[in-house]
Amino acid sequence: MFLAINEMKKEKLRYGLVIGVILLVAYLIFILSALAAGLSSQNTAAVDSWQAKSVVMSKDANGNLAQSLIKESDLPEKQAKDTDLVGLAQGIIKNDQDRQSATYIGTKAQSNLKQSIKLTAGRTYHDSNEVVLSNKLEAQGFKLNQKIKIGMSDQEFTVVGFAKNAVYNMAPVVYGDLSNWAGIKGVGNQFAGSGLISKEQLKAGNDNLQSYDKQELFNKMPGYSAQNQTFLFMIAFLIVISVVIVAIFLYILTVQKLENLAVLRAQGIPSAYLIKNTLGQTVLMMVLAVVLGAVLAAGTALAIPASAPILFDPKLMVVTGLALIITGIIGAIIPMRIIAKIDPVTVIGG
Amino acid sequence: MKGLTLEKVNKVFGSGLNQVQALKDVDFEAKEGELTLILGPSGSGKSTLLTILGGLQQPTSGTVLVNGKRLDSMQGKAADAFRLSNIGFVLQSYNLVPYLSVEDQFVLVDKVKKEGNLDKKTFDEYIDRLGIKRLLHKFPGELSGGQSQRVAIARALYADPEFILADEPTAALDSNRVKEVAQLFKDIAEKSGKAVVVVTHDLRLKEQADKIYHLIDGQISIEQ
Repeated sequence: MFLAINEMKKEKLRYGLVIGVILLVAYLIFILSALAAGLSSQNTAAVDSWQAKSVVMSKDANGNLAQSLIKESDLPEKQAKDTDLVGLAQGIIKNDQDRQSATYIGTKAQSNLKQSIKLTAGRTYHDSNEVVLSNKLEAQGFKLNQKIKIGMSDQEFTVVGFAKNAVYNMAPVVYGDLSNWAGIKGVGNQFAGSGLISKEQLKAGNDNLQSYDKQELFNKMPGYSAQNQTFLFMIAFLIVISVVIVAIFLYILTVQKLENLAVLRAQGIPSAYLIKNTLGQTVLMMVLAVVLGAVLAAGTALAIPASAPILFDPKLMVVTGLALIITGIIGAIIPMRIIAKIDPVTVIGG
Repeated sequence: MKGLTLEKVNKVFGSGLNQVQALKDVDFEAKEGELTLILGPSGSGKSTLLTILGGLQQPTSGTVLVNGKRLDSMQGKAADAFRLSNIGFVLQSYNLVPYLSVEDQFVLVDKVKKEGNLDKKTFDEYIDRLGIKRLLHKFPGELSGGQSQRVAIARALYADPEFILADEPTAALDSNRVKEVAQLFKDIAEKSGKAVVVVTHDLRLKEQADKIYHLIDGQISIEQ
């Protein structure tokens, strides 16, 4: 690292620019990763908070829980352990001034799911005319003790609490009693609910039902897979771009100092020493760029409004950062090959 | 015998119509304790001879002996280790690492060759004689051509090699410095028992030389 560090100290502008470009790529990757994670969590946050492992719903719903209708007669006689019957209804909630799209999730009074709701204000619902709203709706002007109407139902509900991580398929969640679900959804009383949510791997039980694990449930959400694949493609493409950028920069920097390296080789400095320096320099540049990129991304996280769907997951950032450093090392392969093949005779002539 | 010896060395580049014979049946000897000059015009094969002496390339035929042992079969890491410990190269250009201060040029040698480098007293003596003591904190870009060449000579000496191979070491020096450097090479050869080989067309070095070879069109002859 002796050569690497001294070169970077002497050529501050040159290496500063290289690090700056990689930093911007790293920053963009961090922001896109956080945006992908944030948007993904807008689909999955509620289900994740339930700690659900599998969902059983009507076969006709094709994996879309909000479209599922389970008849009373299709429900198993004995409900499995750690399993809750829920009713989902997508609709508009309205108070005197505001109207918002939301997903009503009805639960039974003693359900595990109800107990997993994490409140940020107020209390949980006890009566059938009480609801807990996603705290996203609080930010949009809904208040405690306010009277609201939901979906097809004319019934008035009182907001008694706000909950975090209460988002399902991009829409804020309204938690309430299962007994209201059919009225809100506008379906007959022959339907018991939308699905069975379980912390275990449930089986369908009969031909009218189908079981999905949690990831299958997410993948079946409208737009979820397309959105994730788009982000994954963009991030993967940026990582490929970062490999190319690092490779081009290191190639140019190596070619520019080829004569000096050849002289060092002539003097008996082993190729391995020069390669290690190039590798060390690459890792140092990548680490600096990734750390600065992460700091910049963290600064952005503090600056942007809370409503923006961005989720900075430290684990994801570490994995992304490591991936970038590894791509840097891949980008250093060509310059390292050049160094390994330097012929000292070229600078001496003859 | 201590020293560098070439026996019937030939070097051919290319093939067919493009074939060039750079060295023809070269017999050469540089003994320890002697300053040996190889004089010749551009294109005469001087640099080829120097690279073969330094183990940087192999002859097409013939034998290269270092202290009686064959060097021409040495390759890869063994050749690197041999050059690092035994050969001090002084080249015409690109001698110094541009982003290392003069002092760090020597530190680099310490980093790679941990033992057997010059002790402080001898090093101080050399850099004093070469007039580079006050340049230790400067970078190559801040040095004149002559200063760079003197630093390069010091660096080649720093690893305390058995053999010094210099390619036009006085090209950038004024007459006074040429005399000083020639005398330094002579002293290094005599007092330290090293074999110093200088490839040059600078006739001002002849005065200090123990042995002079002339190389013309790849053919070598010794000056009597």
